[in-house]
Amino acid sequence: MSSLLQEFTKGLWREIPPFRLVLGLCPILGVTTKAFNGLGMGLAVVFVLTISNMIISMVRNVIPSKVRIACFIVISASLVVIVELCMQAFTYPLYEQLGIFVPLIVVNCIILGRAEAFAAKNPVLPSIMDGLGMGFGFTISLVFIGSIREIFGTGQWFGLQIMPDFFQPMQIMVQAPGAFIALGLTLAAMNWYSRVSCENRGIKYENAQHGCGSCSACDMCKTVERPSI
Amino acid sequence: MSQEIIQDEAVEKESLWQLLGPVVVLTVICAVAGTALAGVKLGTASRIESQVLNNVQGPTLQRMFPNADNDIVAERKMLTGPNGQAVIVFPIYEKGQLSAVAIEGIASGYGGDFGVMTAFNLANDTMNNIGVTISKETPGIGSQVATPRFTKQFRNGAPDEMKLRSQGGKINAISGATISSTAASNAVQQASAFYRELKPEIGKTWPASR
Repeated sequence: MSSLLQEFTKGLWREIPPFRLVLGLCPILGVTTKAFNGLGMGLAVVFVLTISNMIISMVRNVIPSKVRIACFIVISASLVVIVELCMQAFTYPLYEQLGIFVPLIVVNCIILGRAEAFAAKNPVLPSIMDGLGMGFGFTISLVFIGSIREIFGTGQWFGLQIMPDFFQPMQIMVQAPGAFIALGLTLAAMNWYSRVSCENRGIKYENAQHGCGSCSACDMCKTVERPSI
Repeated sequence: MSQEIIQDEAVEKESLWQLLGPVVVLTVICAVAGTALAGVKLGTASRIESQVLNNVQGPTLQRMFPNADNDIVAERKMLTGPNGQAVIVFPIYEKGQLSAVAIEGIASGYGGDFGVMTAFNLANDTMNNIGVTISKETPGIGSQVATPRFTKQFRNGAPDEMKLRSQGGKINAISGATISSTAASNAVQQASAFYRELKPEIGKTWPASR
C-alpha cells in the first residue's frame, strides 16, 4: 500500500513531469494562457495517461518487444481520439480553446515515456497509480503556469477579477514569450529550492538523486551514493 | 532420435511465433482500437452535431441576423441538394416574414475546411450577408478573411458577382492570403449553387409569413 502511494506521490513533486522530468513542454507552453485551459488539458492527460498505463500494463506480457512502440502508440492514440470526441460532444467551448493541443496529447512525451519507462515493466495497480500521479502532477503544473500567466497577463484567475483596479495587465504574459518566462522562472525557483533544502540537510546538491523517471543511466548512478532530493 | 525431432519442432514453432507474433498482436490491438473508436464516433455523432450548431453556426447566425424573430437553428431543415447531397437550410423570419435563408458552403482553404454561412434575400435573390463558421487559416494572414474588412464586400450583391476579381467577380482578395480568399469565394459560390437549386423547395418548406 505504501509503495502504491509512493508511485502516486512521486509524480506530484519528486518527478513532477514538466518541472523535474522536463517532459510535455509543448502543451505547457501552448495552452496555459488561462488557468482553466491548463486544468482542462491536464485532466484530459490524466485520463489518457491512466487508462493507457493500465491497458499497456495489462498487455505488457503479450506484446512482443519488437512492435511495442507501435502498440503503445495505437493504444494512446485511440484514447486521445476518444477524449477528443467526448470533449467535442460535451465541452465544446473547451475543445475550441484547446484546439490542436488535444490531438497532440498523443505525441506528448509523457504518455509514451511512462508507457515505456513504467507501465511496460510494472503490474497494473502501480501503473495506474503512476499514471494518476504523473497526470495530476502535470495538471498541477499546467494550472500553476496558467495561473501565473492569467493573473499577471489579465489580472484575473479562473475568470474572476482578483487584481486591484490600478494593476496594469502585462500583455506579454498571455502571449507566447510569457510562457517561456513563466516556465523558466518556475524551473529556476524549483532548482533554487532544491539546492537550499539539500544544503540545509548537509547534502551536496550535485550528488542528490533527481528521481529516475527521466533518466536511464542507472550504471552511472550506482557509482555515487545518492541521497534523495 | 524421436526426442531430437520434437526439439526441432519446438524450435520451429518458436521461430514461427517470433515471425508472426508481432503481426498478430499488432493486428489484434489495431482491430480492438478501431472497433472502440467506431463505437465512440457513432455514439457521439449526434451530440457533436448539436454542439457545433449551438456553439458555431448558432452564434454566427445570431451575429448576421440580430433582428430575427425565430429560433433560426431550431427551425433548420435538411433539404436534398442537386446531386442528392443533404444541405441544411436555416430560415430567417424578420417581422413575421420569411425574409432570408442561410446555407453553409464549405471549400478547402489553407488549413483545411473553410466554412461560410451565406444568407440570401428571398425577395430579390441577392446575397444578404456572410459569416465565417469554420476557419483554420493562418492567424494574422488567412484569418483576415473572417474580418468585416473582407466579409462586408458580400453584402447585398448579385450572387454571380460574389467571387474574386480574378474569377470575374467583384470581390477584392486579401493580399497575401489568396488561397484563403479563394476558399471563401468558393464556399460562397457553393452555397449560391445550392440556393439556386433549392429555391423552389424553400418556398414549399416554410410558410412565407406568420
